[in-house]
Amino acid sequence: MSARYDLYAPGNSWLHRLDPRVKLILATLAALLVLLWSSLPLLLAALALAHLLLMLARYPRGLVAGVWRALAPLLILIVVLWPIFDRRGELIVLALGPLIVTGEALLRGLATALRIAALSFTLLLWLGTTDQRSLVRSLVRLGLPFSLGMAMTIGLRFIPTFANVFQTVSEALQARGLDLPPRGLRRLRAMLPILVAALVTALRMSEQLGWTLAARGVGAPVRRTTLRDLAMRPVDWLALAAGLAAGFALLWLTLVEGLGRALR
Amino acid sequence: MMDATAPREPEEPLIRFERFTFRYPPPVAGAAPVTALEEITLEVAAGEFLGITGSTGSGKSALCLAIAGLIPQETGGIIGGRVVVAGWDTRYTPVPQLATRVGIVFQDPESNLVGLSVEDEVAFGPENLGIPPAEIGRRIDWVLAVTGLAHERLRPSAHLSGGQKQRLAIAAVLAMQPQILVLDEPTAQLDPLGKQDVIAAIERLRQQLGRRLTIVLVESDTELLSRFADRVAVLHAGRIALEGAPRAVFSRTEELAALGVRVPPLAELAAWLNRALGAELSFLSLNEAEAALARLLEQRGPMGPNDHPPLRESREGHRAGRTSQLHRASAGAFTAVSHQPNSLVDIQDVRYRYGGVYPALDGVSLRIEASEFLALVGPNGSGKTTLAKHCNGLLRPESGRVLVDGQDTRITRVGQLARTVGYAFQNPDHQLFLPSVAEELAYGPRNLGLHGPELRARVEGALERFGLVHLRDRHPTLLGRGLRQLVAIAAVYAMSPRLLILDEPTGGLDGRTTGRLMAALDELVVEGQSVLLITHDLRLVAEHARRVVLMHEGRILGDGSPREILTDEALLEQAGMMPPTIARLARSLARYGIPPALTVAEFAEALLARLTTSAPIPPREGEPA
Repeated sequence: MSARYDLYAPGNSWLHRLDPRVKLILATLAALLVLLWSSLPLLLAALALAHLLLMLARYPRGLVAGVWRALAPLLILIVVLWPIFDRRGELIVLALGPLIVTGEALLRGLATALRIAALSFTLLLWLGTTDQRSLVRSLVRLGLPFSLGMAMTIGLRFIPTFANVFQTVSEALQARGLDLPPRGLRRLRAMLPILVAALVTALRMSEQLGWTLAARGVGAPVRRTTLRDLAMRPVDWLALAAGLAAGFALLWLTLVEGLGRALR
Repeated sequence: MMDATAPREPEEPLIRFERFTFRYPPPVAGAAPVTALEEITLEVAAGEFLGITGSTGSGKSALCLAIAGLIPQETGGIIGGRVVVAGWDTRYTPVPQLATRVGIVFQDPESNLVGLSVEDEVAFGPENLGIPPAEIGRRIDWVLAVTGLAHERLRPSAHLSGGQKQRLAIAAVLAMQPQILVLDEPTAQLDPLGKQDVIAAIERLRQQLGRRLTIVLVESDTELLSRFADRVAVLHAGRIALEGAPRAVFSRTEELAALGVRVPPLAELAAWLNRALGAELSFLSLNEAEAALARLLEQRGPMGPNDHPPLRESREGHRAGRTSQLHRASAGAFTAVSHQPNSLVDIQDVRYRYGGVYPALDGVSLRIEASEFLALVGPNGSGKTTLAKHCNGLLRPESGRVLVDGQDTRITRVGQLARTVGYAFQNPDHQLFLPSVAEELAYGPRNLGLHGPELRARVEGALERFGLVHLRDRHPTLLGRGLRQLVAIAAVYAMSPRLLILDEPTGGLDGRTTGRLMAALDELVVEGQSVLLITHDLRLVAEHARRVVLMHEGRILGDGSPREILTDEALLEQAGMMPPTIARLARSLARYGIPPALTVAEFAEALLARLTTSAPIPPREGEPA
């Protein structure tokens, strides 16, 4: 049984139906804002807004929890380590020999962690509600060559397959007495045979896939058609206009008026 | 469906091989090219259903690739002669153009799909050919209906089962409206249910398109070919060794066996009876066999009342014996075995969920003793592999426990358990990574601490047992699929485990290699080792296993002798399976006093006994006297 590697959750909500190009543009703008902000309340608000939108789009809570679980180690690491290396700020909360922790550093660590979380969920709004085909189609329509788009699709699809191959190979070799040390360089060296066998399998699969693509007419000397091409509906234009207006207003406020640049 | 613009004369064959020879490029620089096809001359008429079979490495797949033009255009290599498909020379017609006439589906479900949603996967080919979207939409409707996938239209293809994936692959090439459909072992990696669904889709295609679609089907399951094909060609070492109508080809059972082909059980039965009776029986389908044998039994059997009681007794006696045996099996597990020090493997009420979420085993208890030949059967997803992986600690129970020779798997390392339990995985490529067969075989024993003469003896023993001595210095990954499979199994065998687990070992094997493997396993069991065989091939189970465990939805549905489990139609049906062909035939002839039988030999003997003792025919149940 394979683990899930794709974040996309099938659905038919307004967010799913929104043109993927609009989603891509607005998510990029939102990501830019989040990257510029340091303000805890603003970042928290952005995070809350992202969750609200995901909820409205009926994105499964299990997947949201999954993203949090995946992010947790990184976020915790940042919150813990940041204050140790950042000595800015007057208010000393803790002084243990050479270790000095200031209040501001604590808040900065928190803000960085929040920024990463907000950024992740902003992108989730886009990736979680856009199927692979629309995703690639939107990139192609925005100028990416089709062959690159297709390579991307196939690459994405083979991540779980190769992960499974690696897992199976590792089990097969352990069953033949391969002792995998729990960690460290010795583990990496012990994993070498696993890599070899997994690579051979991957090569066999990619050869066959090449045949499949040729036999499905890839490279035919005709103009490719598209079953359902992307088409901007009035509501997509409206969403784009409203989103851009709000986004640029916030951007102007951020860059010119300094909105959200301070911690608090 | 037909495209009237095809550039060919109406009488001309749709596919024509003209003394076609193909050699793969040498696997390593400086080596000789590998011959795949040798001087093939073959014609396929429009609308024909051609079946191809042959041993592994006989050139079956190469023939498919040559029809689609993938040989030589994608593979490289050396060719002689030519292949003409729909009037196009495959040497000079680009593959994407040939794709408008030829659709090809490969064995591995994973490599047939680009990985889009079902609908987009089907649209992908026509899109590449520049078909207008409205037309693509119409084609999607039709191909999804004919392959039985209409209700899966918007699902991601990655979420489909193996059988669904293969049907989607067929749908995807059909949407390009080819005149020729080439299927290269499309069901080899599927469970019985998935296989039935694919066969049903091919049947519907045949009904709806009839002669408008030419089909080339490569299969090692000759039973399937005998059902569908208008004509069958048997390949051997790159040449066509036998060719003709299925009835004619499959009646030559001895030649087929010599060519490494598994003879369909009914053809084998016919040959057996013909030898014994001097008759000229021939049947390809169950119905045909039933009718022919019923006639024979009615003709031969002069009825006398004196034979009546023993017959009844034997039938009822069998039934009574079965229940008592089943009873013994479940009760005896505790009384008889508990006196012994340790079972080889003792699985106690094990539950397991993948990722802590997806239930896979739901309270399974099973003991495996020394010298057992146990077959684990059931549909995909029933928990067979999960259970097997618990036997060597690759998976550890969430609740309950597993003892391997008395060691609790939860606290013993897999490497340690490997001394007792060997596990050969389904795909040999997941296991092979060393540059020679001998080194591959030495890897496991060396991990167990063996060296010097002892290690060499292990390697030699394994090479001999699996007939690999002459391949000792060859590079495993460059061998054919069947031989790679044998090497992978031999590599596990070389560790001398007391229990050898094999997960679907015969999927890519032909008749001869399967025979060699099964003979080796039989010997192991005689010598006191145990074998746990996971398989969908009930014919193999009937012929070799001594105990069958039937799994369904993470539970054990039945545990008993092959006779108990494999003739129990109701039990098998719960798991979506059917008794093997011979068992079904025996059942359908039960009214003539034919006892339940599992193997061709058993059935033939029972039938011959019936014919010579001239026993009466008891009235059919529910039939007016």
